[in-house]
Amino acid sequence: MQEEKKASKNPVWSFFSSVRLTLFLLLLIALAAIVGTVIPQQDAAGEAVQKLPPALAGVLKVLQLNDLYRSPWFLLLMALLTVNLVVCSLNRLPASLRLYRRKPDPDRPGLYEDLPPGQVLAAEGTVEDEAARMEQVLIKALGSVERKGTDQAIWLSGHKGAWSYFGVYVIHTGVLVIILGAVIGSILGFDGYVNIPEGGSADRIELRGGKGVMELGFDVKCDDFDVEFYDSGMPKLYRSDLSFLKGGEIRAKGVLMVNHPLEFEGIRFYQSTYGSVPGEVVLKITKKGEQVVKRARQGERFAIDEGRAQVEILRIEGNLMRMGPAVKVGIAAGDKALSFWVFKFIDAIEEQNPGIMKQIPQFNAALYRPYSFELDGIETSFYTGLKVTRDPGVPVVGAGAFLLVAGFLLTFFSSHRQVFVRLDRKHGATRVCIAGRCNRDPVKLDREIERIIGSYKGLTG
Amino acid sequence: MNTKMLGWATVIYLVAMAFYLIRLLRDDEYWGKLATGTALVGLALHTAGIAVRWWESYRLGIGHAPLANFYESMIFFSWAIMLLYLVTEWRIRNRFLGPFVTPVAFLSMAYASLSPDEATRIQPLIPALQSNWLTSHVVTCFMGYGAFTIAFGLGVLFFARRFVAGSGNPSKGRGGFFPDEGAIEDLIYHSTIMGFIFLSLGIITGSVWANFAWGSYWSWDPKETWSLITWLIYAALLHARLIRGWRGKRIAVMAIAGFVSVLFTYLGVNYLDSLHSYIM
Ligand code: HEM
Repeated sequence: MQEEKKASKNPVWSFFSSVRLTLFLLLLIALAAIVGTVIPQQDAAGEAVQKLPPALAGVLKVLQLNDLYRSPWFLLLMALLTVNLVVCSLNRLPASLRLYRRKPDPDRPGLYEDLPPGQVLAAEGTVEDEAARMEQVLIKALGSVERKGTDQAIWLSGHKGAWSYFGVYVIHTGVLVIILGAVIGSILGFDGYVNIPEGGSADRIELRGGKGVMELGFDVKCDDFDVEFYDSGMPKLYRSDLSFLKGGEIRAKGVLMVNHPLEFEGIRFYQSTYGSVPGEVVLKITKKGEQVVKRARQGERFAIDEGRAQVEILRIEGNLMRMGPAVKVGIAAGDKALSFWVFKFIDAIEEQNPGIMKQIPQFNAALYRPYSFELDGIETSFYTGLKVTRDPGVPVVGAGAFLLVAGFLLTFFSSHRQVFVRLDRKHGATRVCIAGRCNRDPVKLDREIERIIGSYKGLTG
Repeated sequence: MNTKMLGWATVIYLVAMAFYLIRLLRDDEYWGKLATGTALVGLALHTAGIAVRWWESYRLGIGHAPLANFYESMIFFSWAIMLLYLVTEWRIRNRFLGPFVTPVAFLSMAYASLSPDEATRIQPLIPALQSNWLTSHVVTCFMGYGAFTIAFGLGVLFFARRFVAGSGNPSKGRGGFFPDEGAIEDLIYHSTIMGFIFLSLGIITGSVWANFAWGSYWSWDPKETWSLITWLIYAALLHARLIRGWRGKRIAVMAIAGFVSVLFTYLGVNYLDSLHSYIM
């Protein structure tokens, strides 16, 4: 179908109803999207920009090329496409309605010229009898038939699938509904992250893109976190057991895994990442052969020396200066304060660096006399990294996708097939001419006509 | 077992490709029939190879459709191409397209067979892939890629025909050995429609899956974005043809450009991620 050349009076309207604009926009959006995949976006952009010459970085910044898909000009392109689509559809709808409603005119001149020989039959009965027979066949095959007649000739017509003219509108509505869903999601939805240590809980999340912190209105507790690996070392399973609490009371519990999100009060939780953080430090503290074991997390304090000294875990390092696990301990006794590192592998370190204790008193774990510290181990505890979202646009986008696919089926797998039959007298017999027209898929039309001829011949006997 | 069968299918495709070429050069339908027969045997073995691989994965206790890594995807890509090609050949009752499509299927298989050992071994699924959507997503995407490959072959053929026939649109001479330009373009259009529907389904199933796995149906990740770019190019092709009345050469060019985008969606994106850290 060619674009209608009927010029509209309103130049804005005709601008937006043009398919040339559509092509231009589709390709421009594609081009912009390509740029977006070459230039690092969002979080990845930060470091990358710093390495660029300032002028180039300035260009990137002004055009928002590193947050391209959210930049005003990209959104403008999408908005233009939307307007284009709406205007174009409104513009063409009357024409499609006319096509849909148009009564077929089976006595149109030229319709029965150049028919293949198989579509011109000779029958024994009168024109009237044969027409009645053919009517039956057409009704059965197409579900509709119309008749027009004179004494010499009768014209029949039937058609099927006229609604296929609207398939394209269904496709385009699908696209519009998807865009609408995306807009709804970006206005009413949010998307953020939270890390919760095993046994811990959280009541707020960090919004993505540095948009601050959001209160959830309830607590999420991570009761347990599990990772399992295959023998090859590939991950097999990430699993968080979560409880949702309101006012200290458990309202829901669930198992969260990748591909199996949990939802509470309209907010969805996804297993996103996990990690380990140092947990409790196990210290052995000895005084004249008398040993106590103390456990504490970073920042925690405990008392020794009958309450005369406070010990605080200042820092925990998994591998300090390539000398293994170490913990920095601070001791406050009265107005005296000191701090030192306690290494796990202190014996090996001393062996390799004789005299190191003297040179670096900070490495002397017996600095607070008469106590001496040993690091027995650092326990690790896991945290689970959750993605937290709400997107009320999702059902809308889903509906749009459904329309899109339904529209494809209507547009590409159905067609408006019209069959015209003329019955008249020729050489002492009744001549039956069968012609067809369709808006796409001529092969299907030919098969339809073959079937019609077949059942017609069957009826004639 | 399955890799051996797939290896043999690769060899058979090479033979079929040679037969299609001989048919083209000799202009002799005897070779054409041989080519089709060979391709059918290849496809049967290929199908059996995939089925055996699937079955073997269950025997290993890690049962999943063999669509889970790059090696398996290339095997399936090639399968989709051959299936769609043979269906097309049967529907148009003409073998002219053979020499232009079988090489892509063969190359994909051959490249897959060069993969290192651990890639060809059946591996268990990582958590992100443990989803019912894996199969429907990969199948629809690669059927789309397959259909676009056919459209690409036709686009190349369009120009090959002009090349052997000289300029213009002769119906006689060696160029007349191929269907005329209008018929080629019509086939490009129909393959594009097929591909467009499958790619749309692929993007939709992918979005549904992403919404389960990543918590967002669309996150502008490079692969997603390139599938959208591909989709936009083919949408432009359909509109240009239907409404702007573009014909022949322009459509062939767009079919080829679209296929470049398909390849980039499939393969190029893997390099892009490393490009990020490289260039900048
Ligand atoms: C992403 C956006 C779009 C998609 C996916 C899309 C998809 C389609 C498809 C699949 C067809 C059927 C093509 C065929 O039968 O070969 C079509 C037809 C059409 N599209 Fe679009 N379209 C989009 C945007 C637009 C826009 C913005 C316009 C506005 C001018 C437009 C105007 C048309 C027209 C006029 C037809 C032909 C209808 C007919 O007479 O059969 N499309 N579109």
